Amino acid sequence: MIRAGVLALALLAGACHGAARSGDDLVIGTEGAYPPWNFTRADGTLAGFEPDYLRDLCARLHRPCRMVAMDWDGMIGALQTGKIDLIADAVQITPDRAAVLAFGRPYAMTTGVIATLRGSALSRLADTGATLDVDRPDPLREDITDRLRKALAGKVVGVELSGAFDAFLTQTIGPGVTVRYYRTMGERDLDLLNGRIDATLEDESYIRPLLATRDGTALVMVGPRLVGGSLGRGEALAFRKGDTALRADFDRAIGASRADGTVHRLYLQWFRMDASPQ
Amino acid sequence: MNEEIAFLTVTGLAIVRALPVTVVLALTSALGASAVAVALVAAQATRVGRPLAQVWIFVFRGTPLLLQMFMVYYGLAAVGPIRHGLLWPLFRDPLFCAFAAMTCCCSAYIAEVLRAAWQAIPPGQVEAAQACGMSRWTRVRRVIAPQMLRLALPAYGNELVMLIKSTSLASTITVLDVTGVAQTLIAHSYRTLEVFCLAAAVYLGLTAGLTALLRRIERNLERGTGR
Repeated sequence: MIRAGVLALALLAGACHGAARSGDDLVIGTEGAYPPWNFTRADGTLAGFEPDYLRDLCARLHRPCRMVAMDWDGMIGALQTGKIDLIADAVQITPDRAAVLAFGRPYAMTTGVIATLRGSALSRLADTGATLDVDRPDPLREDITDRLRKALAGKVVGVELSGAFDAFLTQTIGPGVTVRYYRTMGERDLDLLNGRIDATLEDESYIRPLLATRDGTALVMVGPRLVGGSLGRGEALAFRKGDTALRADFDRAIGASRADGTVHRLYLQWFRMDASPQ
Repeated sequence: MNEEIAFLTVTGLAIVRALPVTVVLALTSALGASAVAVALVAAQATRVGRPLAQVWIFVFRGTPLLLQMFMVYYGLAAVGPIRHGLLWPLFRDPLFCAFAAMTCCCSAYIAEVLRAAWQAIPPGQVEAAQACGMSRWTRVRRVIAPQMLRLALPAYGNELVMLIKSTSLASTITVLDVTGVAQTLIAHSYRTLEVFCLAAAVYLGLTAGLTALLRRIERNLERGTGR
């Protein structure tokens, strides 16, 4: 019955929305607050890797596109009710999300990292430089996980309420660590800097530029890089389950953008590193 | 259908496990706000206290509780003497910050409820008590306070119901109360409607219990008043 209710609401929202929309331009949802992937400039326009990249993809598809900013917690709902047509928000491909969304082919591959205050207890975390792949059977994997588990026991780790990083902490690291949830990354960063939380687990592509800011000099990146499982296997565009034609179009454009080196140029411009998916 | 029932059961249990946080926040804030409100009403009877109490009520009644929470939680953490002072262990804790903001905000509303009740007491009664030779404290205890309680209760109950619902704002400053846990559950299941309906049912249960309790107290207080 509840399913029917959701469906009715979705149809209602779709109907209301359909009337307000004009032409066949695609509406792309993004957060507009996740630099350098996407962020909002002082004049209100969106900038970053994804606005540039999606402009390139839409030009290849010869389709007019419009990017709108919204909070992540409402974005999947907006996609399902037809307010937007696809999501370009550094969405990691995770099993949880694959159950409700259709992912395109990955267009970037970044990993999770731990950041903490310089000089804090966690700043001497072991395995810095190593990579912990949750999916890959590896004898070293258990050792690294054990050391991480011991180091994080009794600590408070803040994450954005995205469903990716907290699942790794609660499922892989276990009940020893306390997870604090934040609506936005800015709020989480404030609490990391004022010492309310001991560390954060966040994407390297977000932390690296943060370390270069004035406040960010107080922070260090420590411990192993984390990938796989609920942390995801790269970033992809997210579509409604039924929109297979649209997804296929974008997959072709992603391939073309990769083949002629356009996306590679954008990686270097925005991330200062190669974020190509394997 | 079975999957739906299993999901609702697991989700419902997770939300109910967060109930103590919501109840503790509501109870402590209600006690704190009521105590401050009584102090505000008492202060309004003195020459020095009156402007201070009025400024307090003006500020905390006139600004959104959400902003007050953000100011207490993120704002005060940026103030050096608090960040590096003796009070930091308290203000470091999100639950305490939520309690502090709710106490300040709700005390302003409750003080106005109490002041209205105070003013509704016929001045003749107070004068009669004075003429009988009752001291100031005896007047408050035997004439003013009992009537204020009876007069203020319906509006005071209203404030308590509002207060219970306002505790949900604590989830914006990382408190994992009923709303906070509901939001983390949505982040994993993406089933907004079902999860929020369950959370709403929990609040409905809380306010229904409070309303029933208040009605009982009201009936008890009215006994012997001839109404």
